[in-house]
Amino acid sequence: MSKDKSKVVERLRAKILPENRIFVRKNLEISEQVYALLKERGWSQKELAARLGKSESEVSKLLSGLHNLTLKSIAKLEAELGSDIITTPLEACKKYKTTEYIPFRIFVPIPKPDVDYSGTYVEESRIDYDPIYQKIAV
Amino acid sequence: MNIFAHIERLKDFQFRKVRFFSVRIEGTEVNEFFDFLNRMEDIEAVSEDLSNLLVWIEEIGENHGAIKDRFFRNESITTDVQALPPSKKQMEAYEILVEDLRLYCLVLNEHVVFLFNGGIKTTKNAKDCPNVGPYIKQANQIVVKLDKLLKSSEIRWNKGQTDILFDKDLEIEL
Repeated sequence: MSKDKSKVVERLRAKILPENRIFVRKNLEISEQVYALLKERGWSQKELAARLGKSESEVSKLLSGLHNLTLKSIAKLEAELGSDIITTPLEACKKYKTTEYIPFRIFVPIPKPDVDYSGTYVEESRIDYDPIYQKIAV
Repeated sequence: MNIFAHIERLKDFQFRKVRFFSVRIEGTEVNEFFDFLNRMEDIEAVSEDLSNLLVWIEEIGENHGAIKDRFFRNESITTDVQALPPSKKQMEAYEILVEDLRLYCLVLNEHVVFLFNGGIKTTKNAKDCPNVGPYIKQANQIVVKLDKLLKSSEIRWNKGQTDILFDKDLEIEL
């Protein structure tokens, strides 16, 4: 019996393995992270390619969200960008628990039409901290 | 003999960030994108790539948007026609690639993408490949026609330029 050609999407979707979905999602997240770091550093994709010793099209393929990135290529990207691209939940937990929070006050002048407020500042807000971080705050 | 095609909204591929379309050539059973999927469906060597491609389309459609520089690779051969806003850049055929699997498409903007046909690339230069060469040519041909339809406002943008509007009987002469 011949297959119904109009139902091909349903058949293919039924065959998608959960790991395929995770693979693409994580790949796109990595790509997004790299682009965010490039933006932060003011680098172009071309510049990144030159730093990695790769062609621009190779880097483009690497960041397409479909390339099977190896841990080695991620490590190279991290080394070149000087920042983590992926962090395990355990590592993230350690990192955030050891983050030091520095309290500071923000002083903002509040204009009062009929009052001369020049030279006087009013404390407008104070940042509240999550209790878990208060203990380690400097 | 004149060949005509119609635009088809891919109803299973209408996402939060991207709406996908294809074209159906008169006399064929399914649109070009579905034809690609049907031809690739039983090829064991690309079955995982095909799955990834589908998920990728869904993911960028739902969460990322069709960002040309990031997710698509320029594969234009002859199309050098100026497009209407929003991009004001050349209308070009793009390819999505997973290893040797190629799918040709047109990214009108971050929210509207046409998916055409493709196949398994076997030569270094896609143009020379018997599998995908004809589909690149076809994609470029369609892109030229779509550009004309945009210019003549037979295909129109919605207010936010997140979707296109067209008459369901609109014909594309190839």
